[in-house]
This record gives sequence, C-alpha cells and structure tokens, in this order.
Amino acid sequence: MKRKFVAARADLVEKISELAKKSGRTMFSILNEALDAFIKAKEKNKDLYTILEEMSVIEIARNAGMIFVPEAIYNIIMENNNIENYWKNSGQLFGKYLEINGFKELKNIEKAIKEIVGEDIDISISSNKIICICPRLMENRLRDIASFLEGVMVNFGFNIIKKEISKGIVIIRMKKGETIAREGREKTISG
Amino acid sequence: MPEKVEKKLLVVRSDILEKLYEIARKENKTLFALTNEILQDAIKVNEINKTIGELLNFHNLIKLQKDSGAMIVPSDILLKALKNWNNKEEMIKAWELAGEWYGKYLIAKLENPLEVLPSLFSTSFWHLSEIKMNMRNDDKVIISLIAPNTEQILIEITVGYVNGIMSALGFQNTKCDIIRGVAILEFSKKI
Repeated sequence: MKRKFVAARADLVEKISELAKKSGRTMFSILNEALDAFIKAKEKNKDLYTILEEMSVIEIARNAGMIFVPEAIYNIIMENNNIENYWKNSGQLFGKYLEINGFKELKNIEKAIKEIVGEDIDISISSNKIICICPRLMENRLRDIASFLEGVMVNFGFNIIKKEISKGIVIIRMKKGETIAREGREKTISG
Repeated sequence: MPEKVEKKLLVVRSDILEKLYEIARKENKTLFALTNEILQDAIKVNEINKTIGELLNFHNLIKLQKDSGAMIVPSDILLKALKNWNNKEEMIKAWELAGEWYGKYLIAKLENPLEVLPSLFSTSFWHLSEIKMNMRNDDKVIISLIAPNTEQILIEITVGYVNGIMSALGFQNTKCDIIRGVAILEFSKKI
C-alpha cells in the first residue's frame, strides 16, 4: 500500500493523536478511516456534518420513545385506530427532546422534523406558518403528520390559529406567545 | 499580516489522497483546508463516542430502513394499536408478512443480506436492548432478542417480523423460545 504525506493544522493533528492514544489505534488508521468516510459521503452528495446532524436527530427520536414500523403495518394501524391525538402528544414530546438537545432555530427544527416524517415530504416552517406538501400521501397519514407538527410547535411556544388539510397539502397558521382559544378554529378541507 | 498557522504532516494512503485531491479541486479548496475540515468533523464525531466509519455505517443502515418505506412512529401509538388488534394470530401474521417483504427488499438491495443483518437489527429495533446473532456453519442461525423493560407484545411482533425476514432469506424457524423480555430463535436453511 502506497503512502503519502498531507499537511494539516497542528492543533487538529494533536487532537487526532490523543484520540488514537485513547482508542488504542494508530493515527494512520483513524485518519484513513475519516478521509475514506468523507469520500464515501461525498459520493452520496452528503457531507459529514449533515450526516452527523441527521443521526443526532435519529438518536433524539430513539430517546423520545419512537420506533421503526413497516409501512404495511402502519397502514393497517391507521385504518383501525384514531391516533391523531397521540401524534400531537408525541410531537410535543419530540419537541421537548429537540429543545433539550439545543434545537431552537426554526430551520433546525424543520430539518429535524423532515428527518422523522420523511425527506420526500416538503416541509417549510416560518414564524407564522408551516406548509407541508406531499401529494402522494393518504389523507389520514397527512393528518397524523399535521398533528405531530402541531405538537412540536406547541412545545416551542406557538399557538395554532388554524389548521387546513387538503389533498396532499397541510397549512398550519400559528403565532408565537399569545394564548388563543383554539376550540373550533381547526378547519379541515376534504380533498 | 495573517497569523501563521502551525502545520504538521500526516501519513495517509495514496489512493485516498488522490480522491481527496480531486474533491478539493472540484470544490475549489486547498487540500490543506479540506483535510482540516475532515479532521474537525472526525473530532466532533468522536465527541459522541463514535468513529466516522461507525457514523457512516449507521447512516447507511438508517437510510436503507427508511428507503424501504419504514416509518418512525411513537411507540405508544404502536402499542395502543397492537392492544386494539382483536386477533393476535392475525397480528403476528401481518408482521411476518411485513418481515418477508423486508427480507426480499434486502435481497434486492444487498449482496449479502445475512452479513448485514446483525447491524441492521441493532440499528432499527430501537425497542430492544440487545440483539445477538450467531451463525453456525452456513445453515444454522441463532438470534436472541433481549428487552427486559419492553412490553411483551413488542417482542412477539418482532419475533414475527424476524421470522418473516429469515424466511425470505431462505431459513426456516426450528425453535422459538419466548419468555418475559427474551426471545431465542433458531433457524435452519430451507432444503
């Protein structure tokens, strides 16, 4: 195996050297593993920082008592159970875990939610509304996602003013801080 | 005058360095800057007690799971739905079928699904505290699922799911011991 030299900042090299000592590995092996992983991530159009962020969200979900369920099973569950309210509570709990782990910016919360509900669902969160677009999703799955989003945002101090669910689209209007009686304000437009 | 950065030289595999150099060129960065970025990421990853290689592996397995359509669902929703399921046999059968589909998905996606199975199980069965898989020769597999603090029903559905996966991979269940918090499953290659 041919070897070559590469230059790096001395302080970083020191830290890597410490890691090597602690883990009983050689610097050569740690360094090659890191560089190789970086190249593989790049081949998938990802960078290590994004991967690290995504995986920390997965860890948060795991700690918040979530679980992987096969799609076929989930569809059966949805048919036979009214679980919308559970999703809201779960969203609040997940929001709490995000908060504990330093997620406060809306953009970061948005990324974390995408990681949980699926990357193919287009979600954008601004200070007064959430828009979620996924034309291929069944309406009851969309309702569950809307309730989950609602729960997360309630945890971050938002009051939900109006929730609209139509075919493939959820629009949640919200306001930070004020107490608003929400009874009777939820509106559903069937698709 | 900009502060002079102290540098050190590191030894790396030349094939990796070639690829790295290529990425640096495409991104219009110096090799020095790119190497520093990667080292910084490696140090960050180490802070969560993982190596970059482990992180990337974890990410790939989660992606495989998500790409199969699996959903991240709060476990209390799943538990509620499972308790509402009137026919237990039918419920276990549904998980077995879901497992069988997943097994076929793994065959389609991976060269040697059996090899990946132990890490895939540990990455995706969040409700279990320990999963062991022993292969004896090429035709006998023992899988132990351990979760002393999990509801028994979750262990039972997991057993159904694993049975389905193993069946798709060409193994039949020859022994199934389920006691509180533990399941030991033995499989033999189908003739």
